[in-house]
Amino acid sequence: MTTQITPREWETLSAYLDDQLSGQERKELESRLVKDPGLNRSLDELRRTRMILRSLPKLRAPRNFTLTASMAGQRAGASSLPGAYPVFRLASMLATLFFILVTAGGFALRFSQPAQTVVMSSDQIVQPAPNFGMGGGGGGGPASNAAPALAPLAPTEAPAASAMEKAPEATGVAQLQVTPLTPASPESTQNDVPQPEMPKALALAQGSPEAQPPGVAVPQELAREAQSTPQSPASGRVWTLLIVLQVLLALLALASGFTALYLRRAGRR
Amino acid sequence: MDEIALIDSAQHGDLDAFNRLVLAYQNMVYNQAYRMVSDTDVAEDAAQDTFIIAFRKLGTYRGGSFKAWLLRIVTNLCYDELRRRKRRPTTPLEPMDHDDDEIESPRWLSDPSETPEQTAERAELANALQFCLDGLPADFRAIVTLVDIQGLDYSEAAQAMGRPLGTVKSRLARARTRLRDCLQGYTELLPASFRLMEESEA
Repeated sequence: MTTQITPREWETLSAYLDDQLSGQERKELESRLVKDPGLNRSLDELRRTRMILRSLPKLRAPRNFTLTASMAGQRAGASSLPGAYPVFRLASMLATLFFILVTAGGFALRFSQPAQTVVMSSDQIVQPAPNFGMGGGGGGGPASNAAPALAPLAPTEAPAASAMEKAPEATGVAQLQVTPLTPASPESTQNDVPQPEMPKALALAQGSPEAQPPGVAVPQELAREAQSTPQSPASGRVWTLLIVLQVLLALLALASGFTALYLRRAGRR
Repeated sequence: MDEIALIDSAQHGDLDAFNRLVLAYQNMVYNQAYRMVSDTDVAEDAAQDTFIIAFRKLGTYRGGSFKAWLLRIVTNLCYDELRRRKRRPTTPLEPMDHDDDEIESPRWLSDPSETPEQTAERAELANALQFCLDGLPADFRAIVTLVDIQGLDYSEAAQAMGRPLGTVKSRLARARTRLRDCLQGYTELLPASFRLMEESEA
């Protein structure tokens, strides 16, 4: 009976009812229908079901669904939306993304700079120390004052001294920073450290030998100059550029974001 | 009515031309919506939304059956509604019998308006059919409504469903067999012609 009908056969019967079978398929099915009363009965049930479905009353629309001018106006408003809205939305997203990148880059720069400063200042600490020692050298031997302070940095003492000798050739304080990086030769530690010459070398390096008294004030000044000299023109410009870029991107992100939001809300009205 | 000319005018912004198309197809669209969602208010909203969307998207219409194109819009809207219902199911107010048990399927048994017997019977059959339709999966409901109630052929139905012809064919067959099973419980509601057919077979 009907329970023996496979889904494939139901499909064939359904298509047969709708005249959707090819000539060959139709002939095959019709010959089976003659022989198989169960299949025939299933076809009748399916036909009856279809008839009931077709007998369903056609419902009338409870009202007219014609569009009013305001509904059509929605369309006019909406037609400007698809063009402008995605552009502003994309602009806002990109501006936000670049703002985040620039800000992150700024932070990365900011965190990397103190490390350089530390290196510089340590150089400065290394360099003025012999001066301090030498400045006070009148009262003591070569190692009396400087030795405790420079104990861990002893190897750099000689290069510092050699730098002092070269000071007249140097054009600025920055030169002093480079000198500790030059390897110290064993000979120089022996031969150099001519104390009386040191204040002169320092004075020559600063340009005014008499104006600067030897002592603590001089290294501090040097340190300040040394810190500011390598950064000032280039990095200052980079910082300004970064800040301007951040502000511009933030403004662009906000403006385009609010415009997109406005367009979206206007489109929904 | 020259449908192609009206569509062309509507595509150029002629609202009157579009409204003539609306008048021609609004019953069909409303019927499809009602058979899918089984709720007059929701069907009304779906029908109205269909025409608004159709007007907005008229530029994307690239020929073919305009009827199938409209039916596709309304069918998709009904799918959305059915999905919403699944997400937020509501409990129907089922009436209780004397033993405080729920009376099953009261929707098709009760008719708010008192009518002559014949009308009532027809209405009950329609309600029974709608009840059986509601028991079908959304895809089956859509295809059987398109083909057997709206009278679309297979290719139009495939266009309206956005499915291949083979899928339409197989789903229609399965939908019909399920409806056959469902309707077997309501033979007393069938019109005399159907009953006579059954008796002659027995």
